[in-house]
Amino acid sequence: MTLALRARSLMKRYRAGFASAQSSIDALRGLDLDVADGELLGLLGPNGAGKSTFLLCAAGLLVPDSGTLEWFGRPAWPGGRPAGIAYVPERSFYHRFLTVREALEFYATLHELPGRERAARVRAALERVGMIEHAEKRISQLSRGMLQRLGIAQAVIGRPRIILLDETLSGLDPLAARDARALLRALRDEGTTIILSSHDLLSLEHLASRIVVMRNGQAHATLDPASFTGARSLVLGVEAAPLAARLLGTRWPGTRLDGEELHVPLGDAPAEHVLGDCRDLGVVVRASRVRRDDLEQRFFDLIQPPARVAEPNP
Amino acid sequence: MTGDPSTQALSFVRVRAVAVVRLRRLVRTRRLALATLMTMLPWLIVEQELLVARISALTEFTVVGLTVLVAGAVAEDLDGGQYAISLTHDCRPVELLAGELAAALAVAFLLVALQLPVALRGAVASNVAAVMLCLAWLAALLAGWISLMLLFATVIEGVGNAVAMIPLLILPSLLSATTVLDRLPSLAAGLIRLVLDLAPTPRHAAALYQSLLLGAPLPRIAPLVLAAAPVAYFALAALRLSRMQPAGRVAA
Repeated sequence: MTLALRARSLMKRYRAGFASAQSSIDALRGLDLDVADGELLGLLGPNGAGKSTFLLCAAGLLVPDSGTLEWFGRPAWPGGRPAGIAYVPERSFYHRFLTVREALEFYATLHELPGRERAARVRAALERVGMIEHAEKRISQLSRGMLQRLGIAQAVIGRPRIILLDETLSGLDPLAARDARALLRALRDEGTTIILSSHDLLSLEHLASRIVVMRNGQAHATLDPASFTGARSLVLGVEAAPLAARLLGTRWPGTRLDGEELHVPLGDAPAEHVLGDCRDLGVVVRASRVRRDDLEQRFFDLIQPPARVAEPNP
Repeated sequence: MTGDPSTQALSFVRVRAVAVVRLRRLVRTRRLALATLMTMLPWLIVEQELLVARISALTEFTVVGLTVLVAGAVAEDLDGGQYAISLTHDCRPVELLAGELAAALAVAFLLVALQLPVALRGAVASNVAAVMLCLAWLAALLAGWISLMLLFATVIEGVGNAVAMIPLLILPSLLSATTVLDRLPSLAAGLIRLVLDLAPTPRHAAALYQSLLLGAPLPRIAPLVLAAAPVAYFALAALRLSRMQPAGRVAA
């Protein structure tokens, strides 16, 4: 397997300035991460987990304090960033006084493309993100969704091998998010390596081949979206749990005991049916919650394990 | 990978692209119009008879106008994230800096050109060669001043670099008019004088104007400083920028 990016023991601390009110922050604390060539990797984690810092390091825009980073087997430092790595920031870092077309022409010029090819690339990028009709608009007039599209357009104009996207899908309306997902899917299918940091769980679940959950500046866990079954189960906090598991198991096959909690597979049945059976069987339910095997639930399980005394009955 | 930006030669295509974008910003954000107005306004109220006084005034107004116009904009470029994005498009820090310099110089020459008819009113043919030399020193001063602004922008974040330029304009005159430096230990006073002397300020240019137009003795330090400043300060700024982490200020 060819690696597009390989990070080992990456450390990065933001040091507080002399007159700064903030204290120093350890953004990366020994991050290890491999990204295969052509893979669409999702990055997920709470705010401050180090996702953006990692993307800036991976873009060659920030130098880690220690650790190693390789792009296609080439060490990042010393030597600086190679060509072919595009970055789409969370915030709109574009020249607001330019029109969309002028901004893209500027970025295409930085790649030293000849005039005709430059125009063709700009047009192709505009078409790709569906902004042809907005090409003459000033960037200051664009909505958040449009700015994110512009971000992707500027990223693809140099035909990069790796695209790093930092919260690009956040804050988009459903239609814009759907279009952005289709665009990223198309780029992935063309063989572009994509690392997508996002809080948009739906997009990550649909797009990513792997999702790395980051926490405290490290890769905390790796999730495989293909393993999410979407199956619902009812999690019960009960008294005399082992006995309750045996009793409920006679009516709800697959019921299992996990510590002090019972997990009852629901299928399509409403949770009330299980609770009704608990009353019939004399199982005393202290608390219950419905659980769906999806990215959101797996993420919560990893980041914030469920409290043993759960929420009130559904 | 198609190439390594760190090993590429300086691209004038990229320098020009950066300069064009910077000029567009100055025009479209009306900052150029504001600076032009600021620079021209004093001529309506200042009545100076001496040619050397008028050229010195032109120099002062241009440097102040340029500081207001460019220093904040340079800070925006380096701190606002546009800089980092440009680097992901294979642009090198020195190319961005050169683009900034080119745009600022173009603006400076525009400001000078607009004031020139007023400044040179009454100049006689016998003065033309000396006036041309004065303008050459003015060009050197403006290039040096802009390079110094670029260096400040790599050291001081935000518009603080613009604010930091103002004392450089005021301090030399202020200190020469008072006895503050005389009361300091001689080493400290000497260091302060040296630092102020090494900054390309209108004071240096004015000394040269007086030498060229009034026959005053040629100053010793001013020509050296004005000739070396554009290259020296630009080189320092480029060195400093190449060592900076492009996203350092954005991410922190």
